[in-house]
Amino acid sequence: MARFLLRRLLAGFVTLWVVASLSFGLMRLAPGGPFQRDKPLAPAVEANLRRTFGLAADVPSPVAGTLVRFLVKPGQHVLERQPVAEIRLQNGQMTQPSAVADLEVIALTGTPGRVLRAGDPLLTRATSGWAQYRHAMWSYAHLDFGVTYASEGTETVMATLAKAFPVSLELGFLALLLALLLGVSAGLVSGLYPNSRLDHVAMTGALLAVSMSSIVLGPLLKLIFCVQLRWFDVGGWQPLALDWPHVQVKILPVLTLGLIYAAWFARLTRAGMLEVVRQDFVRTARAKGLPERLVVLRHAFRAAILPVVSFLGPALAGIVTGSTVIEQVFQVPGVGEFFVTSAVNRDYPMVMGTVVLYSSLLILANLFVDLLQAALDPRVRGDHG
Amino acid sequence: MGIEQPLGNAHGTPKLTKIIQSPPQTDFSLQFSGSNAVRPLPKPRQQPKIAVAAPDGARRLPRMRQAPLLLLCLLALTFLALACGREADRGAQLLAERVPAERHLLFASGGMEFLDPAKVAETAGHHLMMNVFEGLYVYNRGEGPPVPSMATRHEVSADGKTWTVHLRPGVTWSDGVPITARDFVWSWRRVLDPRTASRAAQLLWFLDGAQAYNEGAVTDPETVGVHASDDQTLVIRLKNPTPFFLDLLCEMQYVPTPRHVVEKWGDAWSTPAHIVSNGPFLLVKHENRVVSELVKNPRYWDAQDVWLDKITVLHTESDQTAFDWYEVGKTQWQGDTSLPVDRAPGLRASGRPDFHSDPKLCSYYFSVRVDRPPMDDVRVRKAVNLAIDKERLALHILRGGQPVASNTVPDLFRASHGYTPLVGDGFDPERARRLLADAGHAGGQGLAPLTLYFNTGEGHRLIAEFVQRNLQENLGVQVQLANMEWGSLLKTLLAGDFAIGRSSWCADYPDPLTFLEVFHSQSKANYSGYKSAEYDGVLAAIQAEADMQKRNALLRRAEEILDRDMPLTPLYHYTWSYLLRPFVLGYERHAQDMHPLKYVRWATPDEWTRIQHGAVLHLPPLPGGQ
Repeated sequence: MARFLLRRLLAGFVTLWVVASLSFGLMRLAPGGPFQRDKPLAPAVEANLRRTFGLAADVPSPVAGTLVRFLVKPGQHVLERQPVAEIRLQNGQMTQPSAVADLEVIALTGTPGRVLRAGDPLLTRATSGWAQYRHAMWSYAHLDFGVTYASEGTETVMATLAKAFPVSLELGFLALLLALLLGVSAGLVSGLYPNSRLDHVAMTGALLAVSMSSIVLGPLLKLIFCVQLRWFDVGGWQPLALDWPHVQVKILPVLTLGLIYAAWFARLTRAGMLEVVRQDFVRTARAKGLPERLVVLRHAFRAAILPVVSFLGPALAGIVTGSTVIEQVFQVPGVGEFFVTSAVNRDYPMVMGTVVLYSSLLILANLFVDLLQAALDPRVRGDHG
Repeated sequence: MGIEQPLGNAHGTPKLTKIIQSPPQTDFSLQFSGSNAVRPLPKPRQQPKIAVAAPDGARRLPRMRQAPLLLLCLLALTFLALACGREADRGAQLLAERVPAERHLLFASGGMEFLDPAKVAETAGHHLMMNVFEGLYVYNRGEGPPVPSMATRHEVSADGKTWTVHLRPGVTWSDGVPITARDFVWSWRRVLDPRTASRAAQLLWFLDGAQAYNEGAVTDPETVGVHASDDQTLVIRLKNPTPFFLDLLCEMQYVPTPRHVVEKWGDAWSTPAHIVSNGPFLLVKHENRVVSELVKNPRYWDAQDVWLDKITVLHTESDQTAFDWYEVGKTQWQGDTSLPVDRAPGLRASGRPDFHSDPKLCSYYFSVRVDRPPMDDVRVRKAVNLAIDKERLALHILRGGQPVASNTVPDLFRASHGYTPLVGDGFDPERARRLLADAGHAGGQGLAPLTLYFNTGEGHRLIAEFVQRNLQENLGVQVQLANMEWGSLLKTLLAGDFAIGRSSWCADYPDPLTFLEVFHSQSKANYSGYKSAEYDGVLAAIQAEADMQKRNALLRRAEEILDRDMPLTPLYHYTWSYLLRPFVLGYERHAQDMHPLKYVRWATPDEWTRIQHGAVLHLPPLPGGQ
């Protein structure tokens, strides 16, 4: 068991690294950049921002003299040994310092006529992708995800996530709880009394919920209960507390998110139940004269919910990513929004933060599901006689 | 029925493509809310014969199939009725409301992650922080010259380049520390410091030496053209005579920041726990993406004229949520979010007393790449411009009362500058066809299809399609549409790799020059690749001119050159539509969309009665500073 755990954890880290590297690469391949919003920024302003975030560095002038002119433009890719500027030395000689390596020019510092000392910045170049990658991976290994661009560097990714993640977690946990309670009990009843009216009602309800996307159900519920009936506040979130003003805002988001998964769980439980009740070990239990209640709860149920347990992993993923929509619809300040906005705004550190957070969450969740399965199913555990 | 603004797709949400066959009127969650429901079952338990294969109730299916369809139709109709039916009497409802007793304004606004005035660059942050910090001058109540705040008066030198500003005696920070001219010097230099990395630093480049310091070419902050000759007097040296400098002084980047607090707390200084400010309101709470709260600042110099006690800003990025908040009465102003796309035309048509549509200093146009055939021929560019029926575009597609554009400068400078922008060509398909024929492409002959690039957005698509049809019908020119995400479009525009590209420009400062500068040969936003030494020369002359009359003539000259060379296809100027409870006064039309909340108050009982009887009340602008 310990070896199994160790192997899975190790694999988890490799998965994380691959995911992080892929997202890093994809993010940089996407056109546009973090500093392009509605209007293009002046090169100098962009250079200042980039320098703050470690995406650019100054290129010093190797000589002292007077700047005559630049031979490159902002945004230009300069090749190794290509001259970048013309400088008149103090002795009146002209010189053209050239790039020692390929570089991308972000901004030129100053205008012709400027008097330079050796070592004064001449221009600002972009940090190469490879250097950024090495730096990023090194920082991530130390759990340092840097600062978010959206906060103009005033807040770290970790601090932002630390505020938002508990909210998403609470929403996801409540929704999962609802889905399990509702789904499994409905599936159980359906499976025990197949083709009854109750079964039909439950299963058509489940089919309806399964077919409904949260982007439809959410606004619909909001329109009915918040805008028309005004039972609940329109969106928002409250800290954890049990009085009505705190609870009421959570009802609809949890319901929307939970209902769809409740439907999946119900269908899975029902199918599992139908399959299990005909199996030998249940018949044996009955033959031993066990009360029906115990047969169902102790024997049949445990086996019947195995498909539910294996579905927990994907369900967790779905609840986590599905909550992006719910959070948007119900104005829940969770992590979901960052998935979208940080990618659209090319907020690289934030994207990496959310990606790593959720990847680790999913890896852990799947690990947990595997362990749970082993605990429930003697065949997986391998210790049945 | 309000579906949220697009937010990508519903990731990972399971989708089944089966037809819904549901029993009517049963809510799944209600049926099974108690496990007791299982007990009194009418039917005996059945042992299943085959696992799941039995088609449940196959015989009942035909009857069941119609029920859900009917139900769905019924549901849809109900909501439609609920949503639309009320619009008509909503106006009367709003006028029957009671004016709240509390002096507490609530509105919706986008989230803001940082509040340092030196860095604030987007609308939401600007709208909040301009109530917390005030500069030497502050925006007027509605259209009018800026009014003094931290300053009392100023003198401008004959060449227009040196401004001497006298501070108001006795003004203090909210912690009681006096505000001096040195605070301004330090604050402005801080914005320009490359290490501050302010996105909005460029707004201070009007100061002499500011650009070089901001670029890092000089490291001595003393070279920046702002100095304190004593505690009460600020001497500002400008690069050029800048007739709109008084307006600039109202901008966020020109407010003072408390040096003693910034140096003590670093980046955390602008959090509610530490922030010290000088505006009419104090920031007491800021939970990003949730809520911000402001209360009246008792130490504000003009506190007796500030009417509101408290302001609550509910943060949302969703237009629908902001709209819902307003409609259920949670907020009194829909805030700086937009109206939901599907509701705006209906609201406009409803004639509701709380619906407002104000002109804005923004221009929507197509950049036309002037160095690539066939658009390198000015006749083709003119033909394209003449062949688009912009009036119809505004009336039937935009439907927001937008004024059509025949050039890039909006007609909003008559009062402030005495400047009337040039009126260029209108819709004239006949002339368009002649011009195209002159260029050798009669009926679109010999023209490869033009590609029109635009970024994702329902409005942009509709406009692009409208233009596509116009050019096809009126000129016989084929247009292909290419839709891109904004980042990609910007990259395409900056690379100059296109024929026609959607662009827009909103004023950086309230002067026609901000629109004209876009087409300077060195401008980064000059996507058209337009290069004209003559045009650049006129722009330089405008910058150097201190006399308003001569300056206006030069502005007109620049517009004429643009109109002659047509590096753009102007389409329309923006309006901004919003909802505001009718009892809120003092929120007046402002082309830059700036509305200090210190002017806002509820209507008095008297005024409210008049409003209920159909009066539209406006509070007049205050006397401006000089």
